[in-house]
Amino acid sequence: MNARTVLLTAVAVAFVAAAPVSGYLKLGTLVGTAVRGLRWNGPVRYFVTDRDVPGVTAPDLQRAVARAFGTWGSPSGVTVQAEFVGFTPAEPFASEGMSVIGFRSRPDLERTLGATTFTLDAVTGDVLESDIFLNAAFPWSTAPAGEAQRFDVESIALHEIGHLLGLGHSALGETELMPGGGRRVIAKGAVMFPIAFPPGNARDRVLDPDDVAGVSDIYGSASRDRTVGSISGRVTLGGRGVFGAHLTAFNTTTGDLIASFALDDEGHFVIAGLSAGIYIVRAEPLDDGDIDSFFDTQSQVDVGFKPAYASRLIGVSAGSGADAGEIKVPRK
Amino acid sequence: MRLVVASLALIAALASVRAAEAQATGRPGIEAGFRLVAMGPIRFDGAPANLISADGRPYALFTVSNSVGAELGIEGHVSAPLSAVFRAEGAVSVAQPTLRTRVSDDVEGADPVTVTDRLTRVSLEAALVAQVHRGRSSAWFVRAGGGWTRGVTSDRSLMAKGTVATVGSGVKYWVRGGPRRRGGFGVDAEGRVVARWQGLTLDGVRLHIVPAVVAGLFFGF
Amino acid sequence: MALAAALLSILQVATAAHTEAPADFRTIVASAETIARGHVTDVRGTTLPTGEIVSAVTVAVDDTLKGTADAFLSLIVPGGEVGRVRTVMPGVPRLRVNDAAVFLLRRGPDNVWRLAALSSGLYRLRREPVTGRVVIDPPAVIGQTADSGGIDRGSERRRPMSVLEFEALVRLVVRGQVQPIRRRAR
Repeated sequence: MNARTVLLTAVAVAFVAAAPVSGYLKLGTLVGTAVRGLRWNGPVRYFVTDRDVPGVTAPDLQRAVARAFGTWGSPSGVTVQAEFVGFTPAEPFASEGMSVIGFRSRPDLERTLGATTFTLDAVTGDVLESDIFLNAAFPWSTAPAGEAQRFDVESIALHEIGHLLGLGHSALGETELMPGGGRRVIAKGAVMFPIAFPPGNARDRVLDPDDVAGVSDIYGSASRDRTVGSISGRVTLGGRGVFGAHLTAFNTTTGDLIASFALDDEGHFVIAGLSAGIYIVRAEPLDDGDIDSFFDTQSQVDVGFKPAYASRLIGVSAGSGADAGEIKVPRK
Repeated sequence: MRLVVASLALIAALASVRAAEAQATGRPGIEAGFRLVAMGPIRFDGAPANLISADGRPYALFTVSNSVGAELGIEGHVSAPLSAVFRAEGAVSVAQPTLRTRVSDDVEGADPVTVTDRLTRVSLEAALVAQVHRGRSSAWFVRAGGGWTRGVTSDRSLMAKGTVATVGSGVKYWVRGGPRRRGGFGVDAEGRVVARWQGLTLDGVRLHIVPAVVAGLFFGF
Repeated sequence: MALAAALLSILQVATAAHTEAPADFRTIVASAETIARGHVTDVRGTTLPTGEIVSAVTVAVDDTLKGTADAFLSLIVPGGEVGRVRTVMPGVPRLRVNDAAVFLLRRGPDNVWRLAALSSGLYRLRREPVTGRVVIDPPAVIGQTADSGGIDRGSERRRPMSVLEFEALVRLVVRGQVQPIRRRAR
């Protein structure tokens, strides 16, 4: 790889087990040979397009976006700052130096509700702007409880703003094939799951524990770090590390589900942001979706195995890490 | 654990020396001893491993069935007479129950498994014991106490505190001496109900009530 | 576990685009005007008149499975690098020189080739770490195109396919000959 090439990267950094560690799939920038996690150090200054679409005016959109930013900043110990600058005729995706959020028609993205782009300085890795596009080809609504047959702006904006803040996708969700073709969500446990709930649904206005773990990973305070712990371990298949295994930690007391991935060739993983409690850890392959939707194209994600569980219950206390040991997954 | 056993052995040794000297004196004195505490297994609900479907209904990734296996602990105790009927008792107990979770019905068809962890639980308790009926060499008693409990996972990665309360009734039998005399030694047996608030559990329920059977030796001083 | 401030990985997350309902394989194959296996020979960033930075990707075609394609074809994908500025759209596959894949393509409103359904229109050839053979990970819903129900992760029916197997599958789907597979009871 060209050392000057700047990539959008996911980075997982583990610290000593005595301290909480980062485990969420995040976006980052490769500058030279160093990875720089994507993080806004000041307020996100954003514009909203002055374009109305049927059912949603520009001010409606702006209010929904403001609420979504507020939701990401709502978890205890998390600081997310955003500042609405004004309305603009500029469109998302154009590189003009402004972060623009708005509707745009993209016939070539016929199944895409929304997407986020980053414009980076290829040398420094600085984020110059980040745009969020909501596909004007779909019917939209900002009705308080959602509106039948229309997608909820705030729910989709919450997902895209998660990307804008540096979060990658979560794989905490189950899908099914619809009669007649196509996939849809059966259920999910994260706003950052890549497939949206169907129109009329406004459930994704609220963060799930997995989302909170993710945003806390990037924007959490040191005091918050002392209130959560982590589980680390290794996934192996026939004695070999499994890259890209999806790990889920289940808190037996609260029911919280928080996930992560094995992120090296040895199959090491870290699941962070866990409240104190006793956990069950489950490993599964990411073989039901587009791996490109989660990982770098250079990655050799291993999906040739069946789900399995860690062989023992794992206790996690605040401010420290627990070792799940080796999770041996069976070959398909 | 070894410390507790050593302490109990020391108490027993001291008591055996002093028992003979003290048994003839007139008033009940300090007693110490140890007991084996057997608690029955508990099954309890755990939080479901649910995703949320579009209509808001839960969708289980897998189901869990939790239990704590039957446990055998050891309890050391010291008591002093408050009156002819009442005694104040302090007790420390150690047990190593096994938390056990059966994971099944995996949504992706993973094989069911049982995952476990062995806890170490230490409890400190203060109790009031009333000898409600005293015979020549035996006494029926009721006992009520409360205290503090602490549980630690096997790898010591998680420690949780809680509180404990017990109510029980049983009988003490003096092999040497009696309930109205100082010194001596004997055996006791008791049925107990143990209530624990919080501590290490596998569910979100704050209160767990467990039956227990207790039997042990005591020595008077 | 004593991990001392270790960098576990460096990955690009090409996440996404938040999708309404990903298309199944049959739909994507049907919507693709051209399906070709090839390898990337050139990638360069360019700015569209709209101000959007994209990557123009040149693919040397090794085989054509649907439609027609010359020895080389050109497609664009969102995101790219122009001078010191790079734009990335999470959710869009990033293509590099020498990447080999089966490309499912359709023309955009500007008549330029684009991946059908973004990352769902790209099936990469990869070398299995253990066996060393070149394989393609099949789509999640392959073979179930006339059926419905949950999609299991780790399903034994979904294994990496050889390139020949995958191409045969594409041709079967193109000819509309895929038979539904009944799901086991859940």
